[in-house]
Amino acid sequence: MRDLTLADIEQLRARTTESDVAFDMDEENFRAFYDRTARVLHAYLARVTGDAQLADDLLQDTYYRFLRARTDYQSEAHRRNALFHIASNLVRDTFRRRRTTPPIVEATDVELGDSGSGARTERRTDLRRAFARLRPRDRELLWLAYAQGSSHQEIAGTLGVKTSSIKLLLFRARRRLADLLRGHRHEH
Amino acid sequence: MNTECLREQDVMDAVASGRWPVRIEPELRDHVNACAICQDVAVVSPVISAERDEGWENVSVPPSSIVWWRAQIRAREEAARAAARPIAVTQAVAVACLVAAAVALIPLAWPSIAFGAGAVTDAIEWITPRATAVSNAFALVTGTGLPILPFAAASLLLAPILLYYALTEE
Repeated sequence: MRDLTLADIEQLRARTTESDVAFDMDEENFRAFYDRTARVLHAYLARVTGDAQLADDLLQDTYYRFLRARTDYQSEAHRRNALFHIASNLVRDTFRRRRTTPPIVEATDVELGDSGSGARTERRTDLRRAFARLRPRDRELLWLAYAQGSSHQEIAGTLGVKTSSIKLLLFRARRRLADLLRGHRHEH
Repeated sequence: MNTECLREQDVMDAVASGRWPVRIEPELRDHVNACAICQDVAVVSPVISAERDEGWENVSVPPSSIVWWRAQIRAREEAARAAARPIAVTQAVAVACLVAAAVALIPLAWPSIAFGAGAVTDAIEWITPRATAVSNAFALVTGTGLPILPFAAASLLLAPILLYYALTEE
């Protein structure tokens, strides 16, 4: 995603104020919702794709599709789940179009943002290496369950899977990741 | 196969509260040591939680106003494309109707076409000897042959093509 200059912003403002396209959500509500969810969503997209640049693009696309969805959301949780559902579908479509699995090359600390050193950095590197070897669906499951603390029902709604299947899918994904992490620790 | 343990949530709570792995209850520790599922949770949960906490500090997302504007512009572009679609469809239908009408009218118009073709043939037969005479006269004067007929035929063929390109360029 290209950085915007001030001139671009002015141009955008001029073009959008000509006649606003009607979304179901108004700008004020959208901005509040975005501020509550964007960082969480970006973290999800970056970890599932392993590509910070791609996560940026998918973030924009996810919110656009969310705004166009014209769904009557019953609650904040429902709205949030719908957002992550759109994001998950976009990730899947992206990899299907490319006909590749997400990059096995591990994302670097610079790409995904590093804040620590020593043991912390090592632990994050271990996780990224292990994540890079998982299937996208496993990454999604694990991130939703353990980073976001989503319930099985929420995960099922987000990924479009039956709730009854989540237990087994999560068990297998967790087992794979745990084995990979133990392997990395033994290597160290 | 057992895929779930009732104590998973206890392990996750211990991780979330920072009690894992040092300050957990001995009873929970004993359980984790004996339960393969909780052992996996104890390996996976702290690492992902730490990644989440540390990663969020450094995540940089575009401002909401930019995302809103981009969405507006994209929506408008899509609306314009959607509005143009029926026009293209109408044009295609019109061309198809025209072709169908022309094909249907051929049997009716055949006598006129035949008459027209005969007139064209007569005209060519009239022009050809005269053009040859002019060409021969020119050759006598200049000592070189001028290929008038091929030149005239090429002009007739190329003129509409050139006209088409000239108009489409505009």
